[in-house]
Amino acid sequence: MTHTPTWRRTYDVAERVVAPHAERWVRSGEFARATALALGVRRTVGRRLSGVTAAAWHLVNLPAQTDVQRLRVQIGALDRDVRRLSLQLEQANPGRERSGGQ
Amino acid sequence: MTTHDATGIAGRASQKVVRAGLRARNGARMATGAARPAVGQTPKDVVWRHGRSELWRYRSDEGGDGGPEPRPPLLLVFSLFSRSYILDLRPGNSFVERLLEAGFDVYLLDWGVPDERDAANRLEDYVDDYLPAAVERVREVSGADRVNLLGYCFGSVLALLYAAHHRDAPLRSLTVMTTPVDLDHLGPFGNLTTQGRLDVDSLLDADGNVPPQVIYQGFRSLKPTAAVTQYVDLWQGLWSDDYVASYQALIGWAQDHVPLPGGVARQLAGMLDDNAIVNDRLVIGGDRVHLSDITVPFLTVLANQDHIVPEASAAPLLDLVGSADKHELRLDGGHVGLLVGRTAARTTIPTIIEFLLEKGGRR
Repeated sequence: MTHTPTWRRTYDVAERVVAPHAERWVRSGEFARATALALGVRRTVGRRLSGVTAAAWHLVNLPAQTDVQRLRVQIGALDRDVRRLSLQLEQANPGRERSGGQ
Repeated sequence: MTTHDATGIAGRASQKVVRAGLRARNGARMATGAARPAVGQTPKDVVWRHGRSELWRYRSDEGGDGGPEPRPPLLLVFSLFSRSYILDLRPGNSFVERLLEAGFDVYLLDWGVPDERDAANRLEDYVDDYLPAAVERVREVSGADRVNLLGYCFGSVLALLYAAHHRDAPLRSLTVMTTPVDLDHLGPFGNLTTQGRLDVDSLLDADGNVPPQVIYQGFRSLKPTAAVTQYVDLWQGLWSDDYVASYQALIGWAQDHVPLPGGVARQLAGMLDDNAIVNDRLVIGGDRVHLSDITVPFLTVLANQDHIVPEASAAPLLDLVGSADKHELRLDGGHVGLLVGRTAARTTIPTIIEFLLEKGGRR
C-alpha cells in the first residue's frame, strides 16, 4: 500500500481539520457537565422504573431483581472479605499449603 | 499513449478488480464472524489462582527448571480496565513472545473478569494482597530471590503502589509503561468527576461495578473521530488478509473491556479530585504512600501520541520516584503502539529488553 488513494488523502485532510475541534470539545468542562447530567438523568429514570417494577413484585410478596442483586452484592462483599483474609493468612504462614493454588 | 502507459493502466485496473474481490470476500468473512484471529496463543500454565485472578507462567524451551541456565523472572501486571491478551496479541506480534525470546521467565498476573464478588474491591486488594502473593509465587516457582516487575497502563499504577507501599518487596527492577501520574491531564476522565461533579455511583451497574460498555464509551470519547477513521482504515486494507487479521485482533481488544470494581472506581474518583499521585497524597490501607520510597532500578516508558495517557500525564513520574538508577524512555507512538506493531518491534520492546537484561538479567 505505497500509493495512497485520493479519497483517503481527502479524508485525512478533513480529519485533521475536524479532530482537534472534536477533541477540544470532549475535553471541555461543558462536555463533562453535559455527560454527567445525561448519566444522572439516565440513573434517575432507571431507578424510578426499577422502583415501579419492584413494587409490583412486592405486592405479590415476591422479591424483585433489585432485591436479588442487592443480596448478591452483599454476599460478594463477604466473599471478598474471606478472600482477603485467606491471602493474609497465607502471607503470615508462608509454609502452609496455599488456598486455590495450582 | 505509449505501450508502457497502456500496460501501467491495465495493471492498475487489474489490481483494482482483484482487490475488490478480496475486499468482498474479507468483508463477508468479517460480517459473518468467520476467521476471527486467535489471540493470546503463547502456551502458558496457571501457577496460582485466587478469586478471578490468575498468575500465568509462559512456557519456554530452555532455562527454568532443569534448563541450562535459569531465566530471570519477569512479572507483568496488567490494567484493571481491559483484557491482558494485548500483551500476547498474535504470534509474531506479541510482547510476551519477544520477552521469552530474550531469555526471561515470563509471568502475567491477569485479574480476570470482575463480578459482584469484586464490587467492593479496593486498590488495597490488589496492592497489598494479590500482588505480594503473586510475587511470592513467582519466587517460589522460579527459585529466584528477586523478581523484575513490569506494569502496563493502570497496571503500572498498581505496580508503583505495590513497590512504594512494600519497601522490602523482593524486586530486582521496576518498569512501567504509559502510566497516568498527573491526573489533571487525563482529559474527559478527570473532568467528569472534577468539573462534571459526576457521582461515581451513578456509573455503577446493579452488580456494583462500572460496566464495560461505560468504560468503552469513555475511551472512545477520548478520540471522537477514531470511530470513523477505523472504518476508513479497514476499507483501505480490507483486501489484505494480514491487515484484516491484525485489525480484528486490535479493534477486538480495544472494544473488549472488563467491569471495573466499584470500590476501585470510588477510590480513583478521590485520587482524581486530589491529583493524588503528583501531590503525594496517596493513601493505601490507611498508610500514606510515597513514590519516593521506590528505590529499585526504574524505567518509565511513555508515548508522545498517547491519547489515553497523554505525555503530560505520564511525564512527571521520573521525578517522583526515589530510585538513584532511574531512566525515562519517550517514544514516538500511541498507547498501544508501544506494545504491538512496527514501533514496538523496532524500538520499544528492544529498549525495554535491553534495560531488563542490564538491570535484572542476572539472578
